[in-house]
This record gives sequence, structure tokens and C-alpha cells, in this order.
Amino acid sequence: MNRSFLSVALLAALFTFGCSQSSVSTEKAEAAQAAGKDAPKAAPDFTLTDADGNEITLSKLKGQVVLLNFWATWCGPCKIEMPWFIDFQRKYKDRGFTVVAVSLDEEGWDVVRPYAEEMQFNFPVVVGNDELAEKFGDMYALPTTFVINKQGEIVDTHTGLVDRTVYEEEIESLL
Amino acid sequence: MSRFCKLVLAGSLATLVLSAQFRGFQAASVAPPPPVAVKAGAETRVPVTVRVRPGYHINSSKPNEDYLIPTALTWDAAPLEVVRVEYPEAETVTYDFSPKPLSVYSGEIEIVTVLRAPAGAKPGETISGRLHYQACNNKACLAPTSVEISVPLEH
Repeated sequence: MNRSFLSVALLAALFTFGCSQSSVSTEKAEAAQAAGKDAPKAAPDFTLTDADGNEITLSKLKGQVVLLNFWATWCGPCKIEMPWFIDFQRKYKDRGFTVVAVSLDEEGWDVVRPYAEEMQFNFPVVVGNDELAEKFGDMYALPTTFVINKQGEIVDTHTGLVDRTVYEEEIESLL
Repeated sequence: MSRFCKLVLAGSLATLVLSAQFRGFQAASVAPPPPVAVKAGAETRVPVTVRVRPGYHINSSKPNEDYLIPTALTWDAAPLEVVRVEYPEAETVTYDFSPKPLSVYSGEIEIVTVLRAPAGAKPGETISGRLHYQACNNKACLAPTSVEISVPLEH
């Protein structure tokens, strides 16, 4: 039995216990439920370096709306979204927005750097790993994109290719 | 327990069981190959059946985009010589994420390996290999992964 399964079982047990004790819920949770979404939760923090060695720390981006995108060079759907993200960065950067793209390529910068140079990204690109992916949970496929509000909370998660307008509407609503 | 709690609990469990690990979800499986009869010096065909989950595809052995990871069946050197690996004919399919049709496998496919047994090959031995593949559906891709394969040898 792996560690993840134990974690799931523990979470389930804790949740069941918590729910059986009271029906207390926050206003945020109720609002999120009404909207059909999970309640906002704090985004796990990380510090990674970009291709130039600059440190990117997620928690230091509080105060901005962040589109945190997990991707890989072998992922076709991820490559559809990248030009959108470049546009979003250009359009919304001055209003307190940024994209952060985390590659999960096992080969790291050897494969990410050539693609990044080809795409001329205008937002931070870093290389992550499975450990980071597990910290974020809810990630079994790419692309997975977390929409993070100015308080550093994940307000929505998208797995797979979604319509560009979905992102635009979410960004606009959070700015 | 409130209805909300039940819903969240059920949803959380389903999600977490499916997605507990980024590399934990397998879109393809390999049927355990039956024992293979080998004769010293002769060639033997070893079929490996791969089943791809409905809705998913894996790249063919020769994907037509450089960035795609090909399906590859490889074998450890001993105790048999690998003469060649024969991949099935690929499908050419257009997906939402690719304006260019891609070369893929879906459903059930068979990859055949032609092996030659040296004079000293012994019964009871096994040949070991692995299938490396990377799967996607129409909207998302799973991490590249490998499935270990072991084939018992008979004489």
C-alpha cells in the first residue's frame, strides 16, 4: 500500500470525522459550493529557478493573480495553450497578473530551454518535479493549470485543454 | 453527515484515488505473455498484447512530430538475441490539440518480437523487457511510463 493511498484514507477518515461532528462551513466554502467549485485553498509554496538562474517563489507573487501552469514538452495540448498564455501576459501583466509555467519534463532544461527559446516566453518558466506535483495534488495529467487569486489561494483548477475564454473570464473576474 | 460533506467526501475520494500521483495513472496495460517455446538457433515470434484504455491513445513507434515520445518495446540482452521488433500499423488521427494528424495506437494492439535462441538457452529462464509509452486523450496527456514484461521460455 503506497503512501498516497494511506494519505487518501487518512484524509477521508479525517473528513468523515469532521463532517460528522458539525456542519460548520465557511462563507467561502458555501459560496464556492454554490458556484460548483471547491473552496479556495492556499497554494503550496515553492521556489524554483528559471533558465537564467533567477529564483521564482510563488508566495512572493501574492497581490497578483497567477495562472500556474504545469506542462511538458511532450504534451500536445500544453502547446496549444502556450500562445494564449503569452497573450494573457501581454494583456494583463500591468493589471497585476502573471503566468508561471512549471515544466515537468524529466530531462529538465535540456529539453525545456530550446522550446522556451523558440516560444520567446514573456513570463517565468521553471522546471519542477513529481514531488512538487504531489504537493499540489489533483494532478494526474497535463496540462494542469491552477488559477490563484491575489491572496495566494487556488480558486480553480483545470486539467486538460479548456477553452481560452474560460481563462480570460477567470482572470478578468479576479483582477 | 450533511449532503455537502457526503458529496465532497465522495468527490475527494474519487479524485484522489484516480490522481494520487502524477505518474500513477496507467492508460495502457500489457497482457501477461504466455510461455514461449524456443529452439536453439531458431527464430521465435513473441507477441505482446497492449490494451489502451478507451478514450486514450499512445503515440506510435514512429510519431510524426519530433516532440512526441514513441512507443518502444525493448528487451534485456540475455538470454535471447532480439532479431527485430515488429510494431503494428498506426492510425492517423486528428485531435483537438493537433492541427496535424498524429500517428497513434488505440484499442488493442499486438507488438511482435522476433527472438533467436542461442545454443545454450536453458528452459525455465525468462526474458525481460519493458514497454515505454506516453498516452493522451483528446484534451490531456499522461506522463511517459514503462511497463515491465517477463516471458518464460520453454523448450
